[in-house]
Amino acid sequence: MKKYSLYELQSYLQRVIALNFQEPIWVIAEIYQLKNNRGHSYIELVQKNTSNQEVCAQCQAVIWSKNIQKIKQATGPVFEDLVREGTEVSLQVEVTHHPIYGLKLSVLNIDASHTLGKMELQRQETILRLKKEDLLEKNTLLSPTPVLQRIAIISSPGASGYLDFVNHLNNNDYGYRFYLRLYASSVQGSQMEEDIVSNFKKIDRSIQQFDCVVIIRGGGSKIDLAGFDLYGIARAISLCNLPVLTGIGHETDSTVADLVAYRSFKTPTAVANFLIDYNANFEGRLSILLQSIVQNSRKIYTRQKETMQKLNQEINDNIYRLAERERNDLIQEQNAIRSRLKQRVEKEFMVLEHIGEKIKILSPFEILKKGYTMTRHEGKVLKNKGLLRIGDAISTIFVDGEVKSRIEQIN
Amino acid sequence: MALPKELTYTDAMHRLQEITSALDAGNVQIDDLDALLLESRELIRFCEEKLRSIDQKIEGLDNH
Repeated sequence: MKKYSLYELQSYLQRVIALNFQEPIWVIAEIYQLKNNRGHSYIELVQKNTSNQEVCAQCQAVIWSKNIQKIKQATGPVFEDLVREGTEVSLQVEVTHHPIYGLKLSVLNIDASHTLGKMELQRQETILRLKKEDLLEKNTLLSPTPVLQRIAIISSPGASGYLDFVNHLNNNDYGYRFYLRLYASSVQGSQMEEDIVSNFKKIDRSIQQFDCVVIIRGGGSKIDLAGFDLYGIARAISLCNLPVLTGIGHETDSTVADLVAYRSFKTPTAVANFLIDYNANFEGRLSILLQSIVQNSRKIYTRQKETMQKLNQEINDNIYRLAERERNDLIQEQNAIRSRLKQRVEKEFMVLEHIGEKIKILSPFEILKKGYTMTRHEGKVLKNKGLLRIGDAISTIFVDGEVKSRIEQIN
Repeated sequence: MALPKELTYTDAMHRLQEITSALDAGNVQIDDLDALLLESRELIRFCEEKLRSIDQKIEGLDNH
């Protein structure tokens, strides 16, 4: 058997490759690793097994700086989004084999529509899956609390969208106070799904402390937003027991996250406006209710007042009638007592008069006035002659004086 | 002659009846007559005043 030197083998492979790949070809692969050096981009391309996601093929590729400029002109601003780790790309490559450096793919062109189409396909698949699992409308059917004031924010702390959102909320015209807590998360790249899902779990553990969840991002290209089409994020939003509002900064198409969220907005500022208006609307309804309460209270008060006045009048009338009757009874009693007292007093007057008259009649002076005299012997009034003897001294009392004399004869 | 301070109408009447009985019996000394008649007058006045006061109060019942 013939033995080859290494150089012979490599040179042979170089000829075989050159012979078989005379024209550039298109290769589909995932960018596994990307390193930029001196204007060139060195790429590690892989293909993963669809069933277990294990790498089944791997190869190095390079975009020389001169080609980068050409490709950028062809693809436009999405170049940076296409050439990044984790993206599946369709590359036009020149296949070469170098005796020292081995197999090398030099990228000449990138088919942007392949990546975008693939993403859309994945997006549709995710939507279908969510629909099957009944997760598409779950969050949209929640009933938010009347006031959305305590807000859990999932965002990157440095994102301009996050700062806009916080400033807009805190400087609202109504002076409403919001209680905000940031759950820091990457909002793009390979880490975002894990970050966002993990934050939803954390929020769920403190669910009593919040009224809603807001996902904020500063904006970006379609590929930038691709993470928000991921199933894991959409599922976490759907299963969240609080209404989720998204403001992930896109101008045209909605992401799957927007689709399953309670409400989606194009910008973080629009989310802030919604929250402020939502609370203002509640305050407005409160004012109307208050007005209605005041009006009804006045009506009830007036009605009650009238009833009270009527009752008061009835009570007064009854009391007056009762008092009048009592007064009449009293007057009758009084008259009866007076009449009896009068009779008694008059009777007493008569008795007194009678006594007075009697005393007057019985008084010896009254008898003496009429010419009668009173005879006394030894100090006692004489009522007959029986005890008198001749020579006894007697005194005769007249009305105007006393005469002393002696008995000369007794008949 | 001053009447006792605590004199009641009943006491006064009782005393007047005593005086009448004594006069009736004729055993009142002439020397005592003056005082007795004076006392009678005072007692009758006292009783009359009492009765007049009561009479006034009876009339006053109308005003209440």
